[in-house]
Amino acid sequence: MFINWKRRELNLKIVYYGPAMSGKTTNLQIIHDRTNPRIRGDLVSLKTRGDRTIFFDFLQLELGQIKGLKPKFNLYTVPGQVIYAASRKLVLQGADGVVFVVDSQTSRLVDNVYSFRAMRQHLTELGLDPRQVPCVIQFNKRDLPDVAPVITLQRYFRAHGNDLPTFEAVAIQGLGVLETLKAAIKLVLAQTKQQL
Amino acid sequence: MSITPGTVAAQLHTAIQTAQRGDKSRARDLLLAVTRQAPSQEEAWLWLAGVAETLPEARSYLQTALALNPQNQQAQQGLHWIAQQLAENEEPQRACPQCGHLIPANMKPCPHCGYGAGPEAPAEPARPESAAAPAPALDRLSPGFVLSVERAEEIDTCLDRIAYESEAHCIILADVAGQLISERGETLQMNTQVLSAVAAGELAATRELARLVGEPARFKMLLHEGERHSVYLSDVGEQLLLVIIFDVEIPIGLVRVLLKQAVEELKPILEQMKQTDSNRERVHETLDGDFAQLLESELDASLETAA
Repeated sequence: MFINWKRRELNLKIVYYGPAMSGKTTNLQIIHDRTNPRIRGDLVSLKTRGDRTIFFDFLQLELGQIKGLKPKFNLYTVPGQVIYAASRKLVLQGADGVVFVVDSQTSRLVDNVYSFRAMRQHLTELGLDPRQVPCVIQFNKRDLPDVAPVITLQRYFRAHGNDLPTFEAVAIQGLGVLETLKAAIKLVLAQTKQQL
Repeated sequence: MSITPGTVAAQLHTAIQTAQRGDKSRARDLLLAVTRQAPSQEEAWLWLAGVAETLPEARSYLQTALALNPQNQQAQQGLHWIAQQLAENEEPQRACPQCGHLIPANMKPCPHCGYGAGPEAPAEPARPESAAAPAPALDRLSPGFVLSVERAEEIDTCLDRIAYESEAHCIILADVAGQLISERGETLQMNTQVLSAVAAGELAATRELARLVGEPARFKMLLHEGERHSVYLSDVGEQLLLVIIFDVEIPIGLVRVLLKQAVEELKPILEQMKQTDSNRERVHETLDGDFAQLLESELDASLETAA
């Protein structure tokens, strides 16, 4: 969190993390498409020619002043491909909260697990306690035929944190995207207040 | 065919028998079929680990079993065993702190540059990015990185002066998380928020690059030369960074000197910033009470939930 009294801004950074092709960039695209243009900036994507995220995607939402402060949410995605581990860690720097996007397909179960563990490891390396970093889990791609039951996914992720909020989503259709974001923002704000 | 718990159990039973007979390849196919139908079947994942062809493959199956049930002792023990086996098979390497060449972790002195020939070279952890590596102090300012109006004005004055002396188009100060702190000069046509985010990413990547090539110090500055504009990036202490955008006709040397001066001037201001606690009360007052509620209704109004 960063408060700048001169600019009257409250800046919060939320990072969308998850395995390759789980729908992180799609989440940001939907947020961009479905928010009032008054409050959102450009969606910037640092992509390869194959349209895959190479460094991060970035989107800023800026709300109107609340009690004299303009809340600004800086949303980032990490590149999901395995080779970009270093970039993922860099993007996590200074994150106030994380949305972990799970690919619900059974064939991707192991990738989700690896990715979640790696994320916790990166947070630890950055000097943060992963249990203290606000985190919302999104079970994405619920429309696909071969998905793991929500209860199975919940069982795993809830074993890692006390009641991590979870949301089902079909990001490509926009379902569950904004709900996830709102939950993440609420959680980050609650945590920020607590830590001050 | 519909899948019932009965069919899955029967298939698992057959698969286990096949594994016990020693037909690992067939057992693997059967078990994979079971996990496809019933991905939360812990026992199938455990057996899969038992018939896996390689240790990393077995590890991934055990991790899945553990993911399904973090209390699963067999999975825990299996993973521990695999970790030991893999550690024994791999000769750990480390980068020589002096020349950066990769050498076996226990080798002293470095065959390339002779580093560590003395009595005790500092022991380095064998694993890269291990927990023992010093955590970069990137989050020391967070939470509660608060910039008062007075400090912000001091910063602006400093940046204005540098912008004037270097004839820069603009100067931007941001933190390593990519959040914009101050912008001076002609920034109207520029998306400085995004610029801060990209610059922070770039400088972070440069630090990582330094680490990878075995450079003990960080690369502190970064220059991009274009046809009309050039961009200088520099870190300011551990947490902040400065971006100067200037005309290519301005001598780079001059910008570099002024940038260094700016960094030195900004450091004490930022030190003071860390020490002021008076701002915290003000933040508390603002964030307390109905702030969250107001934010929520503002969010609801701005984010359309309907498709």
